[in-house]
Amino acid sequence: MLEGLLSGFGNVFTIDHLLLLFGGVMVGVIVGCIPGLNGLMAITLCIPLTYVMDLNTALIFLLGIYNGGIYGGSISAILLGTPGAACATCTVLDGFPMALKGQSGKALKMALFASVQGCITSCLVLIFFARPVSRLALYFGPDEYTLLVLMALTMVGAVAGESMIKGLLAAVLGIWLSTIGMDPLAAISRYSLGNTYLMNGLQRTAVFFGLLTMPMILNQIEKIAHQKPGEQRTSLLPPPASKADTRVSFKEWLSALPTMIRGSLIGVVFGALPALGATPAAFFSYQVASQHSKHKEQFGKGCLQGVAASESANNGTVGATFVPLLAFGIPGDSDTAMLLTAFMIKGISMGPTLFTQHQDTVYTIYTALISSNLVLLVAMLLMLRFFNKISKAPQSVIFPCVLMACCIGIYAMRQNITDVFVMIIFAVIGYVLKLMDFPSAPAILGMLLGGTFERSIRQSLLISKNSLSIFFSSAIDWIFWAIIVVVIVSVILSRRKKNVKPVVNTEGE
Amino acid sequence: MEIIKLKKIRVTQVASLGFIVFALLLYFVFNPRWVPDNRTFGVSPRTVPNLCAYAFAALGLVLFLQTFGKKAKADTSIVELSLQGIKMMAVSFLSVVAWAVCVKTTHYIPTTGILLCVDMLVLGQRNWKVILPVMILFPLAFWALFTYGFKMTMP
Repeated sequence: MLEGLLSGFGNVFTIDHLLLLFGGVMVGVIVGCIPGLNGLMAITLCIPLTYVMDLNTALIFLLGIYNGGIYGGSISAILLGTPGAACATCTVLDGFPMALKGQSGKALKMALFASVQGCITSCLVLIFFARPVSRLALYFGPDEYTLLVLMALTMVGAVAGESMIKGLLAAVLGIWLSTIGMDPLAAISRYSLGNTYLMNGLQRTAVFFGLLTMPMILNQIEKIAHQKPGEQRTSLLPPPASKADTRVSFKEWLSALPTMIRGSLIGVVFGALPALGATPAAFFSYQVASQHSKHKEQFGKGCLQGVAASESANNGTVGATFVPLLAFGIPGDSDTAMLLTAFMIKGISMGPTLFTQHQDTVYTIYTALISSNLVLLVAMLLMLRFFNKISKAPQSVIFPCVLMACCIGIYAMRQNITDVFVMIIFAVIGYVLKLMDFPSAPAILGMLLGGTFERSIRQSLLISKNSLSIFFSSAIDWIFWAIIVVVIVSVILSRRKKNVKPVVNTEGE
Repeated sequence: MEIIKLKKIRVTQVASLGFIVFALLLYFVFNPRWVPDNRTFGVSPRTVPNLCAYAFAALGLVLFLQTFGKKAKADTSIVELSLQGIKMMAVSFLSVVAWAVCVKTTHYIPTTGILLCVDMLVLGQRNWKVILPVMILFPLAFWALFTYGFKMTMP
């Protein structure tokens, strides 16, 4: 293995490849930080460029884009309160409030450190445990998937916002939204009212922008009315009060380290299981971090650990999504599906034979992923100050630009104007829910996991001939049930004890 | 400044009743009734929508009952909105709606530029040295990115 890794690093550490890796990372970061665009689009855009490259060069370039794209989403999430990519949605919850306190530099750096740490942990798991982790994924049948989703939704719903019931209602709302459109198992359309757009289901990113981003921006605009004349022309984000607000001290990094390690491991588990992905991992990690923190009340109000939890988990999925891809040829998410396409163009077929027939390619993938993180770290430490300049723009300029960027980004995803109308409708729903103190995070997670939940629960009931006993049939099932019960009971008890203080404030304030 | 005040407990009551009504509508009106359901849990396209309806009704009822508890009654917090703020929000929101409605007919660059200008003026920006470059360069930059970068046709 060591020989293979050294040979892989030898492949990557050439001037040509390092420059290409840097270019790939920067393309990923820039595309990723534009609202509505993501790493997938950047990979799609750059695949034709790889036709003229040899296999290793193409791999290195595309993996750089993939890695940069995931990190890029956090930049706009922190500076504008608008996630560049869906997987950075959770980073908005604490990143943007930190920026509003003049700590955008600190938040961006923590996001960078957590991303790199999460991704490297994930890559190490990929290198050393790819086969055992892929075997773990095989133990997950439909009943385990159902309970995993139920556990994730219960945890997020129970601790988000002021009231557990409101959080759970929001989670159910998310699941229901995911049922709009064609049924996943039978060709029956639901709630589509004969509309062909609705038959395909709601566009997720448009809904996320509507539920989370638009209400947050509208809320900030409403606050402008309370300002004195002339203050609107001041910058959106206040300048840092001291130098400490622009950097992450060793002490702060050390205190966030357990959160980052936990987040990375959550990311690894969510990444290794197909169809879950980075966004649910980030929300789950965030809620777990808020539960374990001594300063729960700070979550949602600009907590450094909140940013670390979210970013370490969403980047923690990066290496792990390659586990099912390399071991079985099953892409874990849409980004890896696109990478799979690119690999196939280069004549590489994924699956068990890859480890025997193309061992050098496997090691190049490992080392390119690790190296892209090192390049990302160095490049972003040098260039974050340029991104940070956005924060100096006046709020009377930045808000209109963000609103228009949301419209353009949502339209550009599928070049479908109906997506923009969907965002508008959900902006109204999101704002009303926000006024009523319903957290949006569980709704987003519910919508993301709703499809998996529905498929799994129906497959389970079909297998068991409608017997609910299937949900108690394995040790993993019992573990999930135990966690669900413990979470609900502990939340009820802790809120009674502490006279109900919100653990997570999803308003971004 | 004129302020609209809403009691949070009333808002919660309205929301909980809203969810109960929504659950009933889902179960009796919107869930596809032509789909045959199985006897027990029903493995059909209605399974999860029905489960959602049960959950909405049950959780909505619990939330409604919670508002009559001692702790909820002691909660005197209110939701405050200023009329001026609502107007600003409404204009910004309407600019998004206007973009979606007009972009196909009046084309992307003029629509985005004009709406950006309107929004900036509403939010208090009066410096034309800032407004003009932003309303011209912002749409142009995105147009160039999408047209030449992503080979997309902007309306």
